Amino acid sequence: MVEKRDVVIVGGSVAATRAAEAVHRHAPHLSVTMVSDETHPPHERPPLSKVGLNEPLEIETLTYPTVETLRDGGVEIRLGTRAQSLDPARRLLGTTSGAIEYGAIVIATGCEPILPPQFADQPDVFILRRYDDAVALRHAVADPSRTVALVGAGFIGGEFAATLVKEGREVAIIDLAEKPLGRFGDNVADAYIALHRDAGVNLHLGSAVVGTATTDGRRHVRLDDGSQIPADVIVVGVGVRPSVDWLAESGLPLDNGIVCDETLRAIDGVFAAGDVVRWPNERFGASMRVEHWTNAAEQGRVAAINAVASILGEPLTVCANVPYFWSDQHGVRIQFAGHRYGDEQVLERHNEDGKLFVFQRGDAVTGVLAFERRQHFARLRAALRNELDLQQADSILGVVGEGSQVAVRS
Amino acid sequence: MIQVMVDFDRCDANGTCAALMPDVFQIKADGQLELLNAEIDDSREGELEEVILCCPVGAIAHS
Ligand SMILES: Cc1cc2nc3c(=O)[nH]c(=O)nc-3n(C[C@H](O)[C@H](O)[C@H](O)COP(=O)(O)OP(=O)(O)OC[C@H]3O[C@@H](n4cnc5c(N)ncnc54)[C@H](O)[C@@H]3O)c2cc1C
Repeated sequence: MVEKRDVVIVGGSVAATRAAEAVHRHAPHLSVTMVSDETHPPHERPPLSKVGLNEPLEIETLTYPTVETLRDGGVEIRLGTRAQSLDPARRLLGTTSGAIEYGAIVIATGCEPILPPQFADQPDVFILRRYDDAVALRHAVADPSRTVALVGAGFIGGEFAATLVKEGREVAIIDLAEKPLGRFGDNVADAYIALHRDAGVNLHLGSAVVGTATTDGRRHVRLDDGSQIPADVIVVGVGVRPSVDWLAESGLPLDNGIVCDETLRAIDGVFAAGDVVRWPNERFGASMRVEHWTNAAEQGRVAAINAVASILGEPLTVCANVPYFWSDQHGVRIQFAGHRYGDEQVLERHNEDGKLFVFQRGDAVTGVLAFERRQHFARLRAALRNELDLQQADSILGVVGEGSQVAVRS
Repeated sequence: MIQVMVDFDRCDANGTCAALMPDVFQIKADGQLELLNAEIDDSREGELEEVILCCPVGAIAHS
């Protein structure tokens, strides 16, 4: 006997949780099952790299409070269960605990970290994505005499470096690229480098790891410039890839993610949300895949509303958001909103409170990246929901002050 | 009318609310969040729902 559910959600993180909440709010009469291969209930990931080494990192505290509300409301959260196959024509999901027939499905399987083969068989090498990764990593670095090398200067490496430095630990970041966060241009990279150098992080940029050597029980990584970096513990944060292997035979369009339309629909009855989705974002006239928390939350909601609408025969909602991320490093919040096409001019609007970069393409402002400058950033981010030009952006930057009643143009 | 509630103990001034509903939430010059309007019209329920679901620390609720 095949089980039947109105809505099935695959995944157990933020996009899946928000999807379940949205179905529950909009159509409480529909039956919902969430299928997650994690053993822990849905929980926050951003704190995993940020919480201090001496502060508690408990799954109870990280678990989304709505998990309880959802369970009480009749949403089934099936943990430790992996989705293995999808047959969209028969609306059938195959899982490690049997098949489920659905009315509509939301796929929110996110991404998984890439671990280059040179590190795969080594001891004390960590990735950082899941709660259990964070617990194991924190255990491995607990002894202050152990040296830590971070491979990859992106957000995971940068945030965990900051967490270690806060405890006075010696830490090295190694990256192949000369310019970290390179997709935002050289000036942003230089500001990011300065932030880490000033905080005491040893940066080895434009350097490739060519091997490791262990003497007297202490490991070093060897770089292509001949230097040796102490590395009892290695943390690899070189990027992630969409978790779509299980969909290989499904016939869903896959191309660096699940390819969806502007309503986050892959094909009839199949919607997707979060890090796993590539979709055409009408706000920026570009196809994109976004690997950040807020996008996953927003898309979980939209994909679920559309899954419900497809069952009820109602019109679908378009997902045209302003992609956004934040990252906290060395007490500085770095934020970006907008879309990077790659051919923008980068304008600088710094002041004593922090650096702010405006991305301009033709007449349009297409993005903003700030180090602190939280009020200015929030206003520009709000304004980016609509077409924005430089004059409007500058007037937001120029006239904002304490208590001022300046309305954001929209 | 819908009552908007912010748990300022949880609030991390992420500002997603201020980006989505700038007439209701604002990041002040000191970087902290300010609730500009504790009451909003019923017609804005959908917008507030998005704000609630997109707050990374779950600090926003409604009546
Ligand atoms: C340490 C860390 C810190 C971060 N900090 C920030 C930050 O400060 N700001 C920011 O904007 N973003 C941050 N992010 C990124 C953010 O957490 C992700 O963008 C977000 O988690 C994406 O959510 P998701 O639900 O799409 O996918 P994921 O979080 O990747 O979740 C996918 C879920 O699907 C499950 N799954 C996968 N395959 C299957 C299967 N076949 N069957 C069943 N279940 C499956 C997984 O177990 C998981 O539960 C951080 C990420 C990490 C790891």
